[in-house]
Amino acid sequence: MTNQPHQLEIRNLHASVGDQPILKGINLTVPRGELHAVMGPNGNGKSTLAKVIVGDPEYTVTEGEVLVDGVNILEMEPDERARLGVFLAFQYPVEIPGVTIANFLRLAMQARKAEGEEVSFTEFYGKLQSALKTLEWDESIVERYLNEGFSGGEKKRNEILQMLMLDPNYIIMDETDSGLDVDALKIVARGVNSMRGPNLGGLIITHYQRLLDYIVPDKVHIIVDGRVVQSGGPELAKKLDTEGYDWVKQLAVAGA
Amino acid sequence: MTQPFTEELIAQVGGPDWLRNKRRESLDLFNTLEVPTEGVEAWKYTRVDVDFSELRPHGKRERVTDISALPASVQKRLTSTDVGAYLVLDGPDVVYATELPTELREKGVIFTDLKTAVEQHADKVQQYLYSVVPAEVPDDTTIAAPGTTPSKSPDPSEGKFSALAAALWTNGAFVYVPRGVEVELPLGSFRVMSEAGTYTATRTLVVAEENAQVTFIDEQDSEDLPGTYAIGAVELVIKDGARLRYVSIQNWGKGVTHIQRQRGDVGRDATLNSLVVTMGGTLSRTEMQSYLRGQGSDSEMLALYFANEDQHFDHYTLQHHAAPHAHSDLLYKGVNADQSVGVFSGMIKVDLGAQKTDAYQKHRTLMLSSEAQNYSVPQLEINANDVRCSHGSTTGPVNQEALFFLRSRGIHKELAEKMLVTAFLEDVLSRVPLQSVVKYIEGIIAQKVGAA
Repeated sequence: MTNQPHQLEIRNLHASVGDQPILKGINLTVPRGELHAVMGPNGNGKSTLAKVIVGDPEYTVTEGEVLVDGVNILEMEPDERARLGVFLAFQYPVEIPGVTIANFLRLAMQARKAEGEEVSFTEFYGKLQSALKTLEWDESIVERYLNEGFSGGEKKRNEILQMLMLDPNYIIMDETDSGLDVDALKIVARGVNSMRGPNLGGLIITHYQRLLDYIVPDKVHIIVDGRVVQSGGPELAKKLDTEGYDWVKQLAVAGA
Repeated sequence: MTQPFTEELIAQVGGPDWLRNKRRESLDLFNTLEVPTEGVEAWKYTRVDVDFSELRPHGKRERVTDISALPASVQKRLTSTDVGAYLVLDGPDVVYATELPTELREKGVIFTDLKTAVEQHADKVQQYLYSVVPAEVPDDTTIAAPGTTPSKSPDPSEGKFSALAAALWTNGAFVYVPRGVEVELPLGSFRVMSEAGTYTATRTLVVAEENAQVTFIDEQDSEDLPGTYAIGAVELVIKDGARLRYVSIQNWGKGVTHIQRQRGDVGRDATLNSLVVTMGGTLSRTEMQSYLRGQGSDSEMLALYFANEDQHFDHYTLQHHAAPHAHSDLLYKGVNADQSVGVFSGMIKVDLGAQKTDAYQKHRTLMLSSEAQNYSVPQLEINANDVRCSHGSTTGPVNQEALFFLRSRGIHKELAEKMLVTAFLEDVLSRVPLQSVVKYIEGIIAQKVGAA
């Protein structure tokens, strides 16, 4: 495996929900160390891409590959993919009454350990303290049930908390910015930026430029009708912000 | 029909004349009744296939003076309980007991076994014994408007096992809290059995006088005991303004059939909080009934159970609103794994005069196996016209979205499912402010979930 490139590579990915094809041949490569923005009009496959990568059973892959450090993960169970270092920050995180955040985080960390190896208290608590500080969150939050009664902003912050605790290699942020006020947006961005470095790659899926003011992407890709129709630098996001999506929709028509 | 239970048994269990007479009447009733058949609505999904002539009473065990002489499981349990005083029963009788703290005794609180109470507190026992759970099935026929059809009366056979418990009870707990006295620490009874192929009949009586407050915890635990029957009656008297919290935790071993009627008579502005936990035994029928006699009375009825392998758990509940402005809120949550069977029959009854009744009933079941069965029968009988009543029942597998979420964090499927099952039941415990008992119940849940 040592010769394999450290990157997330999506090759000719086709996926559908039921009989409805949504992804129609996505090609993307994100090396570790880079964060790429994925933009595009709503309903064109951005969130589907995120969910297919992490193995949501609602979606069926009909063609193509998703390679994590050279390994095709499409045959793997969702939990195997996660243990490989892939992390999705959900657009709509679920509420699970009865499971405390602390217990959940501990078990998720434990799942990454080799058999017989325990998550030590110091490891857990040290990480937790530092993550909570970054997110400006009081420790008492981890005694609460997972997302139960949380506001939209708190749920997103909780996604970033999990991200910080689990040290992924590849993150996929699915419209994490939607519904956040600017203060919450800054906190979320601070969390992500604190992880940036040569070991972290990922996709920032968003409809708006806003988040990208705080998390500046290395590249920007635009998805329309299940395909990447344009890629470029951060300036592409700014162009979308000022000119809207009409011109990229034309690109899709031209490409089809 | 054979009549294997004879007068001789009365002689063995004894008591003063009034009690012996009562026992005799009850035995006569028992001998005339059939075991409820499937034609009886309240027993439609549960068959008790018992040959009484094969049963003998559970042997009597010696009283011990030291905890170290108790069965290991009881010793273990006693190290982690925070009850203020307790009784330990092995089979028919008490084998160990602790005393109430002096200050409570000085305030007139009584906590002893029922047999002793019959001798030492005859007036109180005679006043209340059989008043809430008599030998026969309580007649909860609703009071309806003139000219309308009242509800169906219970079938006499529903009194078969309560008649047995009335006739042949050997012992149990007796709690009496005088007017206005609040007992902080819970009181408890730990029951074990240790002889297969036998029956045990027990009876518990708790009386909370006006504005009194007390918590009573009723635990049952044993090794596997094939062909063994535990028949019980629990009578809860909650006078005006009093508050009683009653918890029963059934964790018998395999082979035990558990049949217990638990009923509270709730006075004006009084509150009964009940929690029923069913984990053990092979066949379990636990009735929890709240008779809301007084205006403004309140009953919270919680339960959780986990049935696996061939376990059959039947929970029958009654929220009988006999007075206006009373409130009742029921939440029963259960898990059915393997080939287990779950039955829930929940009855809300509102009498003609019980205006402004506020009654809720929710039963939720988690099905972990396609071979498991669940019968959920919520029923409403409303005779007043200004009430709020709702009932609902849901059945399904673990939440797939939640399962995917946990797995997406790297947690293995099997563990993620167990977390969700535990969380499902935990939800009920979050409403019970009894730390040490909750911890004990969590331990039993973990064991069961782990084995599933």
